[in-house]
Amino acid sequence: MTLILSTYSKKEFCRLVKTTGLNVKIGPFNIKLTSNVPTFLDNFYFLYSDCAIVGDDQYIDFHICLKPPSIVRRWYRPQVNFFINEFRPFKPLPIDQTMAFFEWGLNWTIAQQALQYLIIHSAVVEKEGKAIILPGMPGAGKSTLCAALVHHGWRLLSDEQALISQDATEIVPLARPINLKNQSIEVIKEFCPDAKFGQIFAQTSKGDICHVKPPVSAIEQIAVNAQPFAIVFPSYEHGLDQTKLTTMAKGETLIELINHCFNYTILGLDGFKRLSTLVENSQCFSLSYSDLNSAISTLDELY
Amino acid sequence: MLFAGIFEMEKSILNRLLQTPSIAPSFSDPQWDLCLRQAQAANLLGRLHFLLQQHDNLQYLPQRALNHLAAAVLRSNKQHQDIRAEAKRLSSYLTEHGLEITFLKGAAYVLTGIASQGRICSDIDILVNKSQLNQVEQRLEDVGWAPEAISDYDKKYYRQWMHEIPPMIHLGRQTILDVHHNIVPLTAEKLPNAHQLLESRCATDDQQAHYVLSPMDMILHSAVHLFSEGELDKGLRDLTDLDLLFKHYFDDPSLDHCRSEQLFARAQQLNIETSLYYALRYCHQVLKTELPTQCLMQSPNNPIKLLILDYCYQHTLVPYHSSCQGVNFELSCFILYLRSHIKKMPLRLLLPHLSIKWWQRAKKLFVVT
Repeated sequence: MTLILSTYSKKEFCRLVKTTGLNVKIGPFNIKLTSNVPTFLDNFYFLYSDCAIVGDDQYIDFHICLKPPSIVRRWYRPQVNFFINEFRPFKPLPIDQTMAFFEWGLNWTIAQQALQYLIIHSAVVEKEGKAIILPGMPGAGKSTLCAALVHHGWRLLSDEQALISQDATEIVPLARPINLKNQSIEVIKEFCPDAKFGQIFAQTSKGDICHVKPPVSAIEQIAVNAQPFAIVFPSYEHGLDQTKLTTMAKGETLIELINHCFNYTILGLDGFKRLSTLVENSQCFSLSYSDLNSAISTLDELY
Repeated sequence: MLFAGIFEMEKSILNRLLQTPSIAPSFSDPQWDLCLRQAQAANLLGRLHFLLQQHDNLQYLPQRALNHLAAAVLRSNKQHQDIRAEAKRLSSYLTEHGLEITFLKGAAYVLTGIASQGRICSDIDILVNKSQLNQVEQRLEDVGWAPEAISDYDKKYYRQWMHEIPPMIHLGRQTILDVHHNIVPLTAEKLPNAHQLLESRCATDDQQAHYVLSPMDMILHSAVHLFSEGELDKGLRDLTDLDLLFKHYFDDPSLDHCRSEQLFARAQQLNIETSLYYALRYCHQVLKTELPTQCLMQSPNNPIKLLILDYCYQHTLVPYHSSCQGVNFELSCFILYLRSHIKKMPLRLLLPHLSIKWWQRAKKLFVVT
C-alpha cells in the first residue's frame, strides 16, 4: 500500500513541511514542499490529503518553497514568496493568498519545465477510458463545467492543464484542486452537494477564488492514462434557452488549440505533430450552455 | 556549534562531476537531483546534457532527470534559433547602411558553433567602431530598438565611463541588445585598443553574413570579461565557455607550442595577458581542462596574491546555489567584488560611485511592493 498524505497527523505533516520539507506526488511529478505559512499548511493538508508520499530516495522534479520575504514582512502587511528550486519567478503576494499562489506557481512551473508533454490550457475529464478536452479562455466556464462533470460520473484528469504524451495517443492525469472563481463558486455549491470546498480567497487578482478538492477516485487512478476522444470548446452564455453542440472542422480546431497551448512554440515541429495527431483522433465541437444538467447530458450522448 | 559552519566545506557536486566525469555512474537519484538543481542555478542545465552525452554518461540518469535535461536542451535550441534570426536582421540592416557590426560572447558562440553547446544567453552583445556608435544607435532606434528604462545616474555613468551604451530593448520582440565600443570599461588601468580587435575580425561563413572576433580574440574577450567581473553568479558558466574555447583553439597537439605563443603575444598586444593567465589557470584548476604545458608555466603575479586569488576563485566558481554557499563563499565574493571595482576604476571615481549604488540599493529595499 502506498503511503498517502492523510496517513500523517496534521501536526506531523506541519512539522515535516516546516523543517525538512515533505515529498508528495502531484500528477506525474514529484514535489518537495517546504513552507512555514500556517494557513497554507491547513489548506494544503485538506485539498491534497489523498496524494501519495514520495520517499527521500527519489528524484524530485520541483523543489517548491513558500515563505515570507523577511521578518519585517511577517508582521507588517504580511507577504509570501514562491520559490521554485530557489528561484523566485514572481513578486510576493499577500500572505492570505498563499494557497492560490501555490496553485498558480505550480501551473507556471509545469508549463515552463515539463516539456516532455505538450500542454494545453484546458480541463480534461474521462469516462470509459476516453477523455474529453475542454479548452477555454478565462471566463468561458471550463472549470465550472469540469467541477460539475467530475461530480456526475466523470473522472477528473485535470482542471487547468492537459498533458499530452510523446506520441499524442494518451493524456496523463494531473488531478489537482479545481479552481472556481466568483459566481461559479455558488453555482457549484448548489449543483454538487457532495463536492468538498476549500477556503474562499476574496479579492485576489482574479477575483474571489475557491478550490474544490479532487474526488478520491481521481487520485486513486492517477497512474491510469486516458485516450483522447473529443475536444469541446465550452462557452457559458447567460440565459441561453438550449444547449448547442456544434461540430468544428479539424483545421479550425487545430488553429484554435494552438492559442491554448502553453509550450507549442518551444516544441517546434514536434508540437505541431502532436497537436495534429490529437485533433486527428478526436471529435471536435463547440458547446454553448447555460444549464449544467443539459450540458452534461449533451456530453453523455457523445459516448 | 556557532562556528561549525565556517569549517564546513562548501559542496558543489556539479563541480566534482565537471572535473571528473567518470564519477557519474556512482550518483544516486537524490545526488542527480542536487546536481541538476546546481546546474540550473549556474545556468548550465543545457550544457550539462552535452557534457554527459559526450562522456556517454546519460545512461546513468533517472528518467525524471533526463526529462529536465531534454527540456533545457529544447529551451536553448529555441533561444539559438531566435538569436540567429535576430542576428540576421541586425547584420543585414546595419550593413545596408554602411555600418559594421561584430557579434560578441553568447551570440558569437551561437553563430560560430564554438562553445554554443546548451549555452543560454540573456542578451545579444555587439561591438561597433566608436566612430560609428551614434549612427548605429540612431539606426537601431529607427527600427524599434529603444534604451531600457534606467536611472539618470546610470545613464550618465554608462556614457561617461563604460565600454558600452545603456542596454537597448526591441519593443516588439523584447530582445535585449548591448552595444559595445570596447571590451573593458574606459576607466580600466589597461585599455585594449578596440581597433586592433576590429581589424582582425572574421566572417562566420563564406557568404560573410556575420562577423565575430578572431578565435584568439574570442578567448581573450571571454577571459577579460570573467576575470574583471565582480559578481560571479555566471562565473562557472563563463569558465565552461573558456574550457570549450580552449579545446577548440588547441585542437592539434603538433601546433600547441606555436598557438600558445601566438595567444600570449596577442594578449600582450591587447594589454590583457593577466586575464589570459587566470583563464588558463582556473580552467585547469577548476575544470581540469587539458592545456599545453607551456601555457601554465608563466606567472605574472607574486605568490601571495596568487594564493588569495586561488582561494577566492575556487570558492566562487561554483553554482550560486544554497548548497554551495558558506562562509568561504561569502568572503571570496566580497574580496572579488572589491578587487573588480578597484581594478576598473581609480578610487576618486570608485568611492562616490559605490556610495550612490549602495544608496540606490538601500532605497529599493524599503520600497513597498
